[in-house]
Amino acid sequence: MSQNILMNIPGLEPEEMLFLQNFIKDLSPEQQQNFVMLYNGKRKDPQTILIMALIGFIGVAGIQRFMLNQVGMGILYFLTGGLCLIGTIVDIVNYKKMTIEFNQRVAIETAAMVKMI
Amino acid sequence: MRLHQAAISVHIKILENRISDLEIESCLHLIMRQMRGNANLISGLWFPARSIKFFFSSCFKNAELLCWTSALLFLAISTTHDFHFILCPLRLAGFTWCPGCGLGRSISFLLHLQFNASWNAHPLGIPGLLVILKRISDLIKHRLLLIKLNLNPL
Repeated sequence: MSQNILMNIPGLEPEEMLFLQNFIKDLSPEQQQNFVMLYNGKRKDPQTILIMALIGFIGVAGIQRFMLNQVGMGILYFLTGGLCLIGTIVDIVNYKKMTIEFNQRVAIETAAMVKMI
Repeated sequence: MRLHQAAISVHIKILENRISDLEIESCLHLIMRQMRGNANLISGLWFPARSIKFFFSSCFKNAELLCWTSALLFLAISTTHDFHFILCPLRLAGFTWCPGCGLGRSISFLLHLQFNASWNAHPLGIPGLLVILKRISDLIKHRLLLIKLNLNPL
């Protein structure tokens, strides 16, 4: 049942789906529906983050960090050209994990919110 | 509390001779496990050796954490003379000025507790270091939270 609900989220990664399945299994079906709706609005797509990290090579670095709510890191990247390009390369290698970490934070927040409603 | 009760009940059973060897063994095993669990709970992650072990094991599972930690270690270990020119590809490409130029040296001086030299190398050394430390602590906190929620940390 929960798998069907999660299928509504476009571009869901397998690891992310596994995490979410574990995460929302105690919620009621109604809460699950709310969760999916809110989560879908808040989550970031790994591909977008990768593109933003790639922009670091040709222009402004650190947009991906701003998108992932890491303002301090974003400013640091912006001022140093992605920590002398090294940070940009790290982000390109690590974009998936970074996005999943952000999405997990979002999921935890959203679940707390859904339980309050 | 539960451990105490279990131990008493086993003791009574042994006294009354109505317990098999196998049962005793399994009970002892259970009790030992619970005791170990309690010990873990008490010493927790604040016990230095355990927390250091946790830190390094999470470093090898998270590329970003490994990257920041090794970068700070490198800056702490290196003597602060000429590594910057080897590392920075922008400088190698011929750019002479960049708003972040000197930040690495600044953080390195900071880690060697030379605050004046750090300020002279780049005034934003302290905020830079704080931002990186914040990020490291955030990554570790996230892992701890996932473990606490019984979810598999990626």
